[in-house]
Amino acid sequence: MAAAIAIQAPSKLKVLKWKVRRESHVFKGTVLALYCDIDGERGDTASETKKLKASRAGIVADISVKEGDVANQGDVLLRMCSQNDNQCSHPTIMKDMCAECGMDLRETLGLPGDRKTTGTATVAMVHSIPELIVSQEQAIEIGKEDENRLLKHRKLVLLVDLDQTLIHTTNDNIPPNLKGVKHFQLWHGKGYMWYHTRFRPFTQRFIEAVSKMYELHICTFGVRMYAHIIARLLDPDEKYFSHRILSRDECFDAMSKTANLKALFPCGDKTVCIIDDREDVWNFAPNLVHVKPYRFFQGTADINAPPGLTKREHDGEPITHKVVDSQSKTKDSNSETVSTNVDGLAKTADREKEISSSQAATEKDGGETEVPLEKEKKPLSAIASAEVGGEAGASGLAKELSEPGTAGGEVTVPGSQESPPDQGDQTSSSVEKEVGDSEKHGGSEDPGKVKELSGGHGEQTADTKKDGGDASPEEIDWDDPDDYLLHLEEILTRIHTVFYDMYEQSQSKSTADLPDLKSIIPYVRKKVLKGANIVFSGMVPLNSPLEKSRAYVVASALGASIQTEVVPAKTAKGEKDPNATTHLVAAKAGTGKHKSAMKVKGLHIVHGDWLWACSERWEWVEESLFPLKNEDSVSKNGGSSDEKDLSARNSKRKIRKREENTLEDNDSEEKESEAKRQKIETDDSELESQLDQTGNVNPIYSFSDDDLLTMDKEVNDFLEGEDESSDETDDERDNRFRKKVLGEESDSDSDSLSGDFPRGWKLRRKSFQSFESKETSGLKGDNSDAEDDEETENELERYQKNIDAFSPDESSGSASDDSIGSVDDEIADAVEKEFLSGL
Amino acid sequence: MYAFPYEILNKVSSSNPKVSLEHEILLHPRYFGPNLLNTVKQKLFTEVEGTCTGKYGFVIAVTSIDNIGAGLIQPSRGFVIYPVKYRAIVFRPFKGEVLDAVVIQVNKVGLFTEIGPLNCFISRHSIPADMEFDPSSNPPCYKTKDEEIVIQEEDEIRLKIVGTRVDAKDIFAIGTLMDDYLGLSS
Repeated sequence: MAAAIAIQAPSKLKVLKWKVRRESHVFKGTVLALYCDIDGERGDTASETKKLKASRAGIVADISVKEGDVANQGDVLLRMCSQNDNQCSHPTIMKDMCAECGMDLRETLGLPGDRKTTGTATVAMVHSIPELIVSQEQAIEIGKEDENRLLKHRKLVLLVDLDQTLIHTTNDNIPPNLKGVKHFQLWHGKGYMWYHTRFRPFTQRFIEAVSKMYELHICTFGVRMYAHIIARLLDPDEKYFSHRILSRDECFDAMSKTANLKALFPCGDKTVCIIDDREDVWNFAPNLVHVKPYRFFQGTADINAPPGLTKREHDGEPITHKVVDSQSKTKDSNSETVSTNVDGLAKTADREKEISSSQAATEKDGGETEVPLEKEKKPLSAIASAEVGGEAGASGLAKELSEPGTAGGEVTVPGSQESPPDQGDQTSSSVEKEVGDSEKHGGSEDPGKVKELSGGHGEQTADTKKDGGDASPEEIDWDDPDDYLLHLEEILTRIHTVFYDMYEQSQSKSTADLPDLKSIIPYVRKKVLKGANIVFSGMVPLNSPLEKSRAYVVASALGASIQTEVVPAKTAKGEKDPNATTHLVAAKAGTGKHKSAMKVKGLHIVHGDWLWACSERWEWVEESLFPLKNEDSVSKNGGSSDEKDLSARNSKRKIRKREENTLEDNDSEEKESEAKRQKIETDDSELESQLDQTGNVNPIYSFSDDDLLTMDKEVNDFLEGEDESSDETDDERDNRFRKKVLGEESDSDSDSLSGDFPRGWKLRRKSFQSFESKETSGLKGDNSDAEDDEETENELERYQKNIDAFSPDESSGSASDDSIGSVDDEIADAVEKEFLSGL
Repeated sequence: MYAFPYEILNKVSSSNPKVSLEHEILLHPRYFGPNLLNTVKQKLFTEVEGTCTGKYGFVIAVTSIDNIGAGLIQPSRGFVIYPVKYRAIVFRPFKGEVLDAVVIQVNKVGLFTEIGPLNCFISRHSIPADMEFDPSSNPPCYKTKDEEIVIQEEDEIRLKIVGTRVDAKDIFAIGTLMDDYLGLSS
């Protein structure tokens, strides 16, 4: 500030208005202020306003007279420093040009970023424009303004991740008519990649609600174009995110999002809350709310994960979606009439339902779960039963009219009265094509669908499929049970309330310090399980320290205290012990701790999933929803208890559904049981993913049925090999095998006669049995059936993934499955041996 | 091509004389035929209009073609090069020039504007002191306390250019509103 020039008042005057402010850049002749003269003697203000102009160029350093003040002649009004002395500190630089004085700061022939003078500008403050940088002082000034404004509006900052938090995007080919899936390209043109994005359920509601409490910023590892397109899809009016979008292009560090925080919030991140599905990119920041990753498309994790950090472990897991019959929703108007004439059909269909119930149930389930969500105005029970009846009836009719090809037209009639018969074949072909599509892409299709197309009697099943697929020329609606955003909304509301409670407290105490979300968020989390004393059993591997296990970290973050041994509620003196164990969290029953815990009254014995559910929702989840069953015990027992077990585990979901769901009808009891089965299946797959995430897997579960069978077979082979080496004569051995084979053959003959299936009989029988047992495993049997059929279609590889992922199901599947499988293997073995010995 | 306000186009054409320029058109032999010269003209329009050179600025529109020279067949390729002399309206911003612009983004650091093909940034220090940034309105804006003047996205403002960055293929400008008769033009 060497050459500060003072601008003096030319006469006694009153400054009306300053046209410049500190650090303004002025040119010669620029108007600095409006003023009017004051007549020296009387103090009258002249009516004429005059302009105070700059006599030379420079930068305003200081304004000494306020607006409306009177200055005497010769008083210093403002000081300016000369521009020629390079006084501009270039506090704002855009594309290497000072935005204040317009000076080019780039080196001659330099690349962008090569500046002659380093200047003071270092902070990239605007999300989407990294070229625009401001000096630290400026940044703090602006940041302070932001902070004050937020506090005034009682808002906080929320950094929102996109992929797997609010949306799920895939590059894979998917059926084009999925409902709620947006398709876009980053750049228009034939060669460019298509993206398919599905919003997490309740996203719009979530954004709407949260934007009242938080200023929303997008913080994603997607490229800029991607981030902006998604932002426009989420927020077409730009009212939630505006331009606050930070993408990969603006990230300083390819692996971490933390580096940008300092620049975006130069006053510190005390008011910043983060939601993300992965903690590592934020260096496990304490102000991060870890979100349960959202997965909708199979085989795709986060397409924008940082390089080398892609999480692929869940890619193999199948995601089963129920096809929600959108047609049934549109049909509501005439549901009354439909229900009368289909209910009869439904009864005839019931007998044949064992075979076709897979997809009928699928549709039923779709109808049933969808209805409460849709908040229909009509009485729910009537609609649901009508739909359910309608679907079942339609499929039943399809069976009756099972002449291939011709059946198509008529079959569609009961299902949808509005579709003309001649569309039948067309629909069927389109359905087939579409299903084929989804198969090809390895997409997450519903197992029932696969089975139908690959099944031995494709024509028939294709016909039945048509009824469910009537809506397919419009859109397929996949049922998506994810409701995490509702929980997240609640968590964020809680954080917001706590912050402003503390803020008000600190205001009243007139301490200047802002509460810090980095301590508030852990504090809120710690209150979740406060007072719980937890003992783990079977949750932590023996050879690893307790303190490093995930269960320990999660539980202590939730505020629970962890004990190593069960502490009884009453001490020896009969007083209540404050340290008494309240929960035993166990992966399996029958452990020592479990037994000692059972003796303690009032101690909750819960499955490990209880803990994960708590940490996911930040809630003290009702313990009775996660009881520890004996079936969880170490030894692998038969699948007879399967349903009970699963339904118990999943009762939480069902109970929740019931709450919303007034749909409790007597005549739909049977259908409900069907639907329940479906529900259990979805929930089960969810459960599997949870189990996998936690790494809390019964080792036996990790073997699939097939694995176990092959093991058995190996052992058998080995033993039989020994037999051969013994001194048994050839004839004897032959006889033995023959007997075995013949015996089995007669058995199978009777079976093949009774069954009306031209091929794949053994698989059918499997599914028959499991259906007869009327257990949950019914669908699984069907499912494995589908897989085995695929095998005959030589598509084993594609489904190997699914089979593996289904393994917990399979291994806990019905015991009858096991025995049948082994018999089949024996037959196969015996036949092979006989063949070889005959040579 | 660009959202060029009518007045601006007028202004450009009046203040920027048509400049004589040269360009070489490379033509595939499949265009050899009766429409050859038309093809050359079309190709010139598509290749030249909307581009930017550091020397002349943005080529806004080709007004006339003075001369299409003799084509020169490229040895061993079959392609022909036609040297074309044409006149075009160009837009070359200069320091101190006053222009009308359209606001495209408003943020806490300043305003981003577009003058036809030219992007221009105005720092918040170059916005009159009585105008404050208001991020809570939708869209965000700069406004005076009494809300008499509000500058928000898609508004037309008049600005003065204080500096230009001329790259080989693009020009970027820094503007100011701190002068008489600058600001919201309604």
